[in-house]
Amino acid sequence: MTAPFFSLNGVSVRFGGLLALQRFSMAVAKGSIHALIGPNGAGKSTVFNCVSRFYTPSEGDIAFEGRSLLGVPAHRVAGLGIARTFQNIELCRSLTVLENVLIGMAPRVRGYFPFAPGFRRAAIERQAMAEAEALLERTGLVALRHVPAEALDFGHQKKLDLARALASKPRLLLLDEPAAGLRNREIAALDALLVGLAREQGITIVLVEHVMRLVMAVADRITVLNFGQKIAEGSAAEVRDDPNVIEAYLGQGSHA
Amino acid sequence: MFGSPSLARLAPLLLLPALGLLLPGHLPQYYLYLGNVIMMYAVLAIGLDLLLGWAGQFAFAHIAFFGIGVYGTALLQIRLKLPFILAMPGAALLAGLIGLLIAIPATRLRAVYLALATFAFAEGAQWVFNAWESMTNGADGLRIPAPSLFGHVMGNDPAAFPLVATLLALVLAATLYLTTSKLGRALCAVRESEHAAAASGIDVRGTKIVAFAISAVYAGVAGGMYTLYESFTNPEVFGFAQIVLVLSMIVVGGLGSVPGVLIGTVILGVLPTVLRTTMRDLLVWQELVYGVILILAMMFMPRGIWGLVRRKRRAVRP
Amino acid sequence: MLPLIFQALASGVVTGCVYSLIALSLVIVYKSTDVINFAGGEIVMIGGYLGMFALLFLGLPYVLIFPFGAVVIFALGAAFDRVVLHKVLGRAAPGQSILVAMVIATVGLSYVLKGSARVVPYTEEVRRLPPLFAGEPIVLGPVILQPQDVAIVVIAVVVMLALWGFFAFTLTGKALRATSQNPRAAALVGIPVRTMRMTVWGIASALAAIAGILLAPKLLMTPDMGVIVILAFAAAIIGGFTSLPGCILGGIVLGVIQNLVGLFVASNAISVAPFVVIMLILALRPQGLLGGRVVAKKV
Repeated sequence: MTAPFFSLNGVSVRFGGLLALQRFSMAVAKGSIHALIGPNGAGKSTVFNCVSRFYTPSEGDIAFEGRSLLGVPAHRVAGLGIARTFQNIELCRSLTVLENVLIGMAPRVRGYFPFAPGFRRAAIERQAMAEAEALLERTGLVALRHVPAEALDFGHQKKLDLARALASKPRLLLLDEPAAGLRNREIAALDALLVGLAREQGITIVLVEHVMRLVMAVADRITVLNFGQKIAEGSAAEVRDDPNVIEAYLGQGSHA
Repeated sequence: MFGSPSLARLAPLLLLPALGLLLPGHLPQYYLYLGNVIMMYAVLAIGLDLLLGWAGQFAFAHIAFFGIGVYGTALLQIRLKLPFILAMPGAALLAGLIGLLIAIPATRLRAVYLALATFAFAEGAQWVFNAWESMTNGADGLRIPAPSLFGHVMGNDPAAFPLVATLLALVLAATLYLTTSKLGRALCAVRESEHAAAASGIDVRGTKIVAFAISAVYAGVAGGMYTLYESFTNPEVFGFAQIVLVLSMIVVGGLGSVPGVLIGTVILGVLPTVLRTTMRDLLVWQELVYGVILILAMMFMPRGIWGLVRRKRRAVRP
Repeated sequence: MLPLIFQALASGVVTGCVYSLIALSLVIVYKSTDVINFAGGEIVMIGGYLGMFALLFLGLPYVLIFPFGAVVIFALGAAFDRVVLHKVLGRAAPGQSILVAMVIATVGLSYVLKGSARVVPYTEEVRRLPPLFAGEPIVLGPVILQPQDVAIVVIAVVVMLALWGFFAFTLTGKALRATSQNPRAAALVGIPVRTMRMTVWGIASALAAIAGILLAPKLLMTPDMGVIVILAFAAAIIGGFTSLPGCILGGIVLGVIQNLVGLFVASNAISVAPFVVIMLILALRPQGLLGGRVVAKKV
């Protein structure tokens, strides 16, 4: 068997006495949409924060395209082709929409040293600007490109967070509750967008989400977390019927 | 704001050296002195703003690096007989290097430690300027040699004015390149959200260190500019009062914007001088006034005068 | 030589106790509001002058000066938080800029206090308070202590015990601890977070004022005496800027270091000792002598 595209293998994370993740494993197939669900505090965001290298697991390994991420510093993760959004939307709030997308392009724009004038730098910047505009066109934010992020409404901020993540041209996209707080119509659009990203552009997506309607509609595979442990894994139908899941999660009042 | 600076934005900077050559024949010496002081403070304030306004890092060491620039430029000329054109960049690089050495440990931890470490460094540096008498002549102060450039001897205000103006133009051009580059974007990202920055592939700690070092180089250049028109310095110049003055300039004009900082520099650079000539015994009130300015600015216009101007303009535009 | 060392140690402990009080004032503000109070030294200075004012002009007895100064300066600190910081917090751009804005506001406060002291003609002359207690020096083996030195230590210890008791046993103290650990959760369980911030600023300012009154008979009073805060910063850093016992230890260690440096190195090196301590601790053991591991914040 070949190594999976992206996997966590026996990852544990400890905060003081609290075990936020306990020997957690999951394998994500290339090009799939893999949902990670579970009640609040189950450890879903902790998984993302380990991948982003904000946290270091006390044991276990995280592998992407056959190489371990644990030796990689946080700012190199994006360069490897992994992008993410945040549950509490992390944007550069006083900067404009366009500037936020340009920041997302950081791993792909060369020329860190700013004092080299001349044509190369100008060309690099011009190209970055054009790509950013194109991305805004695709995500429907182009009319707002000179508006500061903090002036956007919630739905548009979420879109911008996603656009910023997409700007690095990731092969793996980690989405932390992209549908939270969105209206029905917006969720339907998100549904189409995610499927499009996965099927047409081949971007692998790991989706943390509470809105079950979205999860059940788009996920190829679902992993269920509770109290830092995996309690179920399988297709939408399998997970829905799993007694553990019903007990732990759907039992306490379905979100769908 | 981002993207390469166009020639249209760089061209107006040529006005500065042009005015620098033109004005000395027409203005009284006092105005030229004021001009030199304000242009020097502009470089000092823009340098601090890169760290404070752009990267959002609180640091107090700026005046120490300014001191290194002043003493460095003077001493490289006195001791090593270097010409000004080598002494000033040498001193500025030295300031940057020391900045790097401070930033590497200080950025490793919580944000507060940068403020504390730099506060300690600033006080320590002033102590060194005082105590290292064989080099700096201690509290008695150091006579700065009149620098010469291609046979043109500086050391008084009219003679220094063109060069000070040219240096300011160069610094502004460099700042324009820096703030519109990938590094400029990285600075903003680090300020606004370290997590978003890191997830977008920006080396948060590295960016802070670079910002700190560049800011120190600016302070060193400002120190070099100071030696062009001042003939004397002493450790008093590099006390905490200076950092409060520069801080007020940035805060009044507008954190994180070059035009704002320039506005603030002119207002707070001219104001004390104007008041001093119109009212006497003002010195004793100075601290109270700066304190009130800082507090009121933070309460009522956190983005300074420039922030207010920009908001007005945005409100007018549809 | 040995008696000199003992004497230096004893004097170090005495001044160290006062540094500890100032360090405690800085750290409780930092722990509960994330603000480094750069006006801490000036609050000490104003407290000292206020004590002098109460003694010389209001004719209050020494015993009453401490509560008087503490109450007045408590009000000053609480008002600064309520009027200024609350507004700054509401206005500032998010992210790091909040910290920058708050710290600038405290720098502003330090200048307002220093400037206010400066414009009062009374401060032009360098003054000092009469000793807390007159009387024969106390001889303890090789060490000679003035009665007021003993009084300083006693008062400092009483204040520290009171502070500990407040945090450990009173409801307000417990609520304050909860607020500093997790403001959002504290707000959810109904703790009035805003009032808590004001209280912390008040208590911290009162601590600094008491330190100022304790210092007033020992040091020369000038509007610039706030520079003493650097010693408190160093003490707080020895404690990792979070540990209250660490502050107390740090203050005493620093007082002793200062005296030993004065004895063995040179008297003009005394003033540079705190910077060296700060830089060394930050470079070698940034979590402080007593500090544990730094735990990552939730994203």
